[in-house]
Amino acid sequence: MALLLKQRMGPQPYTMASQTNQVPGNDEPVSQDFEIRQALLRKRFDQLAARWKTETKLVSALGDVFESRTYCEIVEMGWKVVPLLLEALKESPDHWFVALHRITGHDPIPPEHYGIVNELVEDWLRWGRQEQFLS
Amino acid sequence: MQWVSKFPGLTQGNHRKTSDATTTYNCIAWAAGDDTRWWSHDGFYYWPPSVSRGPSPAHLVNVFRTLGYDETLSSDLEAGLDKVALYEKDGKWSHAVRQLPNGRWTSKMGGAEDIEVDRPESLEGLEYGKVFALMQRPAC
Repeated sequence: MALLLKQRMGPQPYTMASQTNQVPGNDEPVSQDFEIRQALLRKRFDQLAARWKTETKLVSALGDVFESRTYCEIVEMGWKVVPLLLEALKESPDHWFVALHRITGHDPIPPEHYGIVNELVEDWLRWGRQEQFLS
Repeated sequence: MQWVSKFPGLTQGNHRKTSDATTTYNCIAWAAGDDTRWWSHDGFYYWPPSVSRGPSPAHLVNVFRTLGYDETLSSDLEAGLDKVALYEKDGKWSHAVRQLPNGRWTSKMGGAEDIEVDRPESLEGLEYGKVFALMQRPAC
């Protein structure tokens, strides 16, 4: 999955770590750099997701929820946050469907599943497995 | 229920929790008698097919009209009538509650718990705004 993510995330910014640790023919230092980025990404996502849940726990009309600054910040993280959104869905159903749709442009949900949260989760997890974001 | 402090009209004596938290259904679904779906005008969520999707209070009134409800002025318990109260905040629908046979009202609090409350006005405030319509239909 790491390779897949690297491809989807595009070129990585040139960093001091990759500059000083790169050994020709050995990409291990780049992998370490990637792991650090992933850890930071997860930390940021966890912070935003927790804030969003607190801010919107009582809301029924989801329009404002999906336009909230926190939700939009998660969407702006782009493709690299997709595995984390899918993992979050797997862990506990929540309203990440719109974020996944906005980031990926995909819509794996048949209209007959609209509103059935467990089905929406399953539709997106199935998509995640097909796209090799999940095993 | 840490969120209770967000509702100035809720007191220890006028409400009680009646379910665990769940994201399976929301207040509109619950008021409509459905505990299997989340009803919202936004994409991916359920909205009655015959009603146009939208955030205005009128859109929500139309949802309950399709379920057989008409507007009324009274929130009193009346034999043979089901009643719901609809809320708006900042010009958009925000919440709904349904009257129980005991005269109290049942409310699903977003993705949180269900509660039973003494009257619709007890949930007015910054979170859900104000009650803008009461509706009734012959009891099912």
